[in-house]
Amino acid sequence: MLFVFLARSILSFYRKQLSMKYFILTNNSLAAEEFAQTHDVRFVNGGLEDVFIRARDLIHEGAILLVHPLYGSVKPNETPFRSLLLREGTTGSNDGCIKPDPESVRLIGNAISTSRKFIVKKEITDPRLIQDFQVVDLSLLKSAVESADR
Amino acid sequence: MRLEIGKINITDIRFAEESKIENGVLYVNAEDLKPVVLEDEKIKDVCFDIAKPGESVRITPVKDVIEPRVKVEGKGGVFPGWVSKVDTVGSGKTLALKGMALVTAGKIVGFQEGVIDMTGPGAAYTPFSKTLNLVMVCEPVENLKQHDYEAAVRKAGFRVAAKIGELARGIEPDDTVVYETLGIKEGIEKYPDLPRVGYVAMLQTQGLLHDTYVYGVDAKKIIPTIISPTEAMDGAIVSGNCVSACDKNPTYIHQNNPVVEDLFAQHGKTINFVCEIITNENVYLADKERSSNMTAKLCRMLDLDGIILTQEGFGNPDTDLIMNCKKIEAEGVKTVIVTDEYAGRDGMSQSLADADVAADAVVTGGNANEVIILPKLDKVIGTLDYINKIAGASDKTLREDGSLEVELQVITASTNEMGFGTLSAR
Repeated sequence: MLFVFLARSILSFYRKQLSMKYFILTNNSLAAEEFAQTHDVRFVNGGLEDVFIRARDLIHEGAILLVHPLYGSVKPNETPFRSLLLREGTTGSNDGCIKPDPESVRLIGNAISTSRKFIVKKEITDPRLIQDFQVVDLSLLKSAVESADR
Repeated sequence: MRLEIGKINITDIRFAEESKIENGVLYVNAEDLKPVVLEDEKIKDVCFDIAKPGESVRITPVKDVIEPRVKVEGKGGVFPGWVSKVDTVGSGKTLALKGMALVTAGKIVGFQEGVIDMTGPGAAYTPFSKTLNLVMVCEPVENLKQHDYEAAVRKAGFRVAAKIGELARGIEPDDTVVYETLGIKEGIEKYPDLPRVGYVAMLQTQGLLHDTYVYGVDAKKIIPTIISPTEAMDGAIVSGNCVSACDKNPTYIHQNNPVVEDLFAQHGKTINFVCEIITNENVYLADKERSSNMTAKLCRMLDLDGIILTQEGFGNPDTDLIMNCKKIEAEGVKTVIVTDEYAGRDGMSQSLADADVAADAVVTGGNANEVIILPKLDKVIGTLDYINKIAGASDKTLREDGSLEVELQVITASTNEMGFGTLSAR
């Protein structure tokens, strides 16, 4: 009995450690809710571009992007939601200066400029439509989390 | 592998008492097809309609387009992993109903795309305005989750296509084409002087409404592998995606892949068409690294001289495209990519979300941001309720006179990245 308890505790600790290696940056409340108990979730109260900008700032502070920011074929001017996986800053150099990960910088920069290319923005008020966008965003995020957690 | 495709030319579709094919006419009793759809308890009801080239009909939102086929010789059956068991297909003989398509339509999510106009300016942009379309619109049971409904409609489409395909069994085809690939050693011996060319197909694999399946397996979970191009002709690769209609590959296009068709046309003449390699387009960056590494390795192990590389979708897949291109070129294998462009409404912006100097041979399927006015048509199959919500549309899309101002993005297969559309540039 004690052995089972210990094994479970170790497994649970190990799982938490695994998932703590990265965090979820999202403005999708459905995604935040889904992963609140099992993952490090950082909620952005804003639009899709606010998520990109926050991610860019974090990347310049050393964080590394683990997913493609332009995932999904739902266009940046269409869906209001975005969820990204990032790993905590590990790119500091010996001299104490932060050296941002160049690939992450490139990807987030391209994502911001691509999203600005879609000039016609749409106001979404229909709650069913908002939920559809949230569900698809969550589904795409889950496919990334599955890869990250295996 | 050697596959004969027997083509049965369909010249008309009519509703009738008895489902049959006679003198090139497909007669359909919708009551025969209903139970095939409703065997899935997630679907409450279904209705069938017919849309013919030139008619004032708009079909929207489109989920998938499928060509009915039946396997009459050789291992397995059509749509392995769904309708048939998972025998390896792609050899023997298959009959295909040409000139027609089964279109699955109707709302799954509120921003779903896909417009097929059977007449007017929009018709010129979709290959499916030229086919006689049997359209199937499903209605889900109450409170069904989006994932479950997508799967139910996807699978119902394959069952109905297979049922219609069965009507062709025993009919003498109007034309027969033979496709044959050789074993590695056999090919080198037979065509010692011809360049060895492969085809790398990138499959959309990101999540709900963005998935592709191979023999029933979700392709985001595969590592890149080799198939005979004839396997896809029997439905080994099927579509589960319908967002960004312009550059997604409906099942029909996997069955009738134009890159495969053209490579076979040159096989034994100017090239030795060795095989098809399939790979995925996942969201997670480490998955992209792994898959592009494996794809480049396979190209090298097969001693290919050159490949054609096609992508599916926008944004995220551009990174897979460039990763594949760079790594395959680095193995000394010449690479030509086929893509489309999001170059802005004026065509002046950067076309892809990624780029590299190794991508120096590119074929485009057109600019998905190009604006088009689609006039009001007399009949809509599906619904226009969501037309303002889809990509390439805006709050001003549905105009007072009933016409639509949209980007080409909304039109099914208009900028297809296997080159199935009509747009390109020189």
